[in-house]
Amino acid sequence: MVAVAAESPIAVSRRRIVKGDRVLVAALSGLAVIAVAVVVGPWLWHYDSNAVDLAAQLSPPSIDHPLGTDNLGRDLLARVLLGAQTSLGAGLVVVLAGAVLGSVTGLLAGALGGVVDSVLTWLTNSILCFPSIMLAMAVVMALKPGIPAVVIGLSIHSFPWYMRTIRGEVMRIAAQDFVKSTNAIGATQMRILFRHIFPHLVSTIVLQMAAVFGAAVLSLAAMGFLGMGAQPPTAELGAMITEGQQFFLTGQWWLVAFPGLVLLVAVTLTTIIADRARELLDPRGEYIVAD
Amino acid sequence: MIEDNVKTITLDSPDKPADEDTLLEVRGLRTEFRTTRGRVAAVRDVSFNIRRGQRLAIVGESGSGKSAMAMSIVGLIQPPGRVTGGEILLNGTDLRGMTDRELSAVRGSRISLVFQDPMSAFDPIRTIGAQLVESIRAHQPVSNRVARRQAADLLGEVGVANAANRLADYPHQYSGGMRQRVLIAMALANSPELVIADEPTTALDVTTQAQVLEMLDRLVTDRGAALMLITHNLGIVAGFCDSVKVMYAGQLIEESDSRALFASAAHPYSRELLKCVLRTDRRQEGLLSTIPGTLPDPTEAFQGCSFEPRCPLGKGNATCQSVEPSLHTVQGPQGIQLAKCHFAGQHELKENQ
Amino acid sequence: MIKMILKRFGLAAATILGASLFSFFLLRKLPGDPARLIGGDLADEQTIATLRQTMGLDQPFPLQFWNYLSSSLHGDLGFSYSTGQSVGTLVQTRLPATVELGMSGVFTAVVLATVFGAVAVYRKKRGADILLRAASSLAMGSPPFWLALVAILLLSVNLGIFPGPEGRLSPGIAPPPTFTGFYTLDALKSGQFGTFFDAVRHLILPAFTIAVGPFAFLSRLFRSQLRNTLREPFIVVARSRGLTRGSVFLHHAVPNSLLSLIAVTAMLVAEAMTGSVLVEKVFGWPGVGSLTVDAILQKDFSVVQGVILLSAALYVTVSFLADVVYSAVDPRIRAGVK
Repeated sequence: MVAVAAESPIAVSRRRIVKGDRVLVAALSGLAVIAVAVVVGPWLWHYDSNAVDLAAQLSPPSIDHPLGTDNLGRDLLARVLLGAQTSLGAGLVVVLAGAVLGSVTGLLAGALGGVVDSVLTWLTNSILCFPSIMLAMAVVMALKPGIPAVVIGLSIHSFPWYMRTIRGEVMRIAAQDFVKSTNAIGATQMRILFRHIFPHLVSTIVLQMAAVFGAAVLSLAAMGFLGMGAQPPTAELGAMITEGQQFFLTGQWWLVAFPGLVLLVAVTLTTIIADRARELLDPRGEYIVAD
Repeated sequence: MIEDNVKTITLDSPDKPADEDTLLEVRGLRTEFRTTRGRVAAVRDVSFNIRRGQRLAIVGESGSGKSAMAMSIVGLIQPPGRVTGGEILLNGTDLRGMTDRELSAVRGSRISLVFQDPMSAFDPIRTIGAQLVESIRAHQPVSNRVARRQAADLLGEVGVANAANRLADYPHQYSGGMRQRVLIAMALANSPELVIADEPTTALDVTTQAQVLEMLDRLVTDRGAALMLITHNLGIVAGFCDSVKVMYAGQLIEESDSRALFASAAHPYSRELLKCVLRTDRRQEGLLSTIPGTLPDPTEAFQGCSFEPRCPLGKGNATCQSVEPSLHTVQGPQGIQLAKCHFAGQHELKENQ
Repeated sequence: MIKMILKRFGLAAATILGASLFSFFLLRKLPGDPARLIGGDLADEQTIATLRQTMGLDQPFPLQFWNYLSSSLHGDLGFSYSTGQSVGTLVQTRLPATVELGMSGVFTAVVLATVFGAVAVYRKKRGADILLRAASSLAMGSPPFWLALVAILLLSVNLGIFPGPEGRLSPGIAPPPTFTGFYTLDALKSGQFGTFFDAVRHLILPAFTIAVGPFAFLSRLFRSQLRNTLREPFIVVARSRGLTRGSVFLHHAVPNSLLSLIAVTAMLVAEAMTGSVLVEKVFGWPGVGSLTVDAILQKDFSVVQGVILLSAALYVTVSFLADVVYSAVDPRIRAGVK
């Protein structure tokens, strides 16, 4: 038996990514467009989000105002861009804060064990029995309405997952031989944790961050909608929907439609990306059995 | 006895046309798996016959395509796998042309399977009785009561004590050996003409293995069914099967009468397999051997003989590296044998080859 | 199994204790001086001091918590500072509306998710599956409050199929005599079919919007559960016994997959609670959700604390019950194997 020319593995994997996951590529491109628009859009667009123009109150979408104007004559495109910046940015903060808080507590609980572990586990169990919005509301109540309070509340609600995962992994990996042997040659515990254990978990953590980002953005918007998140005049998608609500049912549909659509598209895209990325890493999902 | 031998071989020969004694006829069966690295053939142009009442062993390493072949025959090869060529004739009717409903009427009734892992073969949340009754009523127009009585009888037949009461038990309440017996009972529930047993004793301890094999043997004989025993262990084949087919890299590379194979295998691979078996009938010299190397990577295209890199005879030989061997007929000491080898029947190479 | 249930019960109790401690700390200790918040900026020192005393704020923290906990356990959740009613009564009057809405929503979600999930996985053509995945991704991404507004605009204002955001009944229609507190059931029981249809018409849009979140969550879960179950060896074995694809799917794959969904009942309840907070506000639905929102905006501490604690207690209770039900249904756990 002699092997004959076969396709190189690199060519195969390239073909697979391009051919096999057009959905992922499309979703990533879509999200990239939104991200760029949201980051640089407010600078490029010639209307200021807070420029009041009483002559142009509640004008429908036109060439001059592609998304129309609100009841103060402010350009809706400018406000949507800025609002999305607020919503998505704050969502990012929630996700990052949750991951950092969860990683630190998870490493501590897993590495130290004992009382620290029990207390942290008990605490996270207790936190998880509040719906995320309820927890955010309680923090708003304790501090004051605004994005910071909501971000704190949502971060507190999101960290237990990371903590549990990392705690479990730390305990599992710490039992493996290569960690024991590094321990034997005198590496300190913290060094083992960060040099050897943490890198194993990065992909898991990033996947989870992608998966919960959308939910965080929606919760932030919901709090804004309820008047407990962003306070005027801050442009934020959820709060903008509330502001537009009174005009919405009487014909000025664009005030509610566009902020909502941006939320819908952005969150749906991140959900799709998170799903696809997970499937790429776990190809078991590809085929279906029992025909 | 000699006559018996000759008959076996001629009927087994793939070139011999099927007659009224042929139960299953497989012609040019090919099964491929779609993978990220292209299509991979797990079964490559396999042809053979099974007579009524015959006991046939398919022997090979894990990964040689034995199980894929069995699943292909009953049309249960799972995606990404697919049967891409050949005919599977049961009493002259091609199973490949059947609809799922028609095929379902064949499965578990005329052809039934015994699987290797009794632990995961049952639905964990239904009772053993419910699953037996379900099998029976899928093929026989009987009432639930009648089916339950049949189920209890079957359990008794395979040696489950207190069978009527144990119908209400769940799979996890049975031991591994008992579950394997229940699997056999299930396979025999509708008096099949062919039982395909895929490694039926691998998951069991040695004592239970012997009991289960003995029981399988008895029940198959009682019902006059043919048996196709798939195994990686040549040791359990001896004295159990009439005829042996050795599978390597998706192909049948040796087809022999069981006694002929044990007396003198025609293919070098079969000889290597035999060396791995503990023989009680002759003195063991040294340690049990293993075959060096592994099966060829099926995703890699190759030419020549698939066994060449591991072959004690042909390794490095120019012919073996370039020409795929065809099936050669060999007159062995105990009868005719077929082997896919350029040097079939030879135990060492002559100088000029 | 009794031992397992007891253990699980202890865990639930510890979790509730933790949750109440957490919410107590958050709402009583963090905001500086709750007495000042309640009394308002204009109240004099004397009033604030009295208020602190009546609220027990002058006591040490553990004692405060103990008092709060024991009175909560006796069903005394304090008084609303804005209406003067007891929190227990307030919640009680609002609860049936929310439960009726939440249960309709969850029921809708469960039915849609399991039926469409099963069809999508069963069908060999991938169209249905792609459709389901697209629908669940969209459902995952849609803000429920926005969806509610859009639904009202399209289906109620423009097309007039459903009533507008006017609560549980049309103006002028009297609520049916109370038995369960669910207007639909109560109206049926007292034979007021006109009221029944009106209540159903008012229920449909909010229930569907509440269902969106749980549907997204459930349909994805059920789809992947089904696909995992179909990969189990016993499925192929069942096929080899001669069962048709449909029969194996219906009698083996679906029950096994549904079983594992019991474990997430509590998550569904949490989703529905979140949904009710948002949807009730849009539809003017007089339930606990809108009560909570109003209480927070009015800084009505006792009400917020009561509702938050109740939501946590509900979550823990439901997940405990789900565990018990699961272990009663799964023969492996019933026998103590798994």
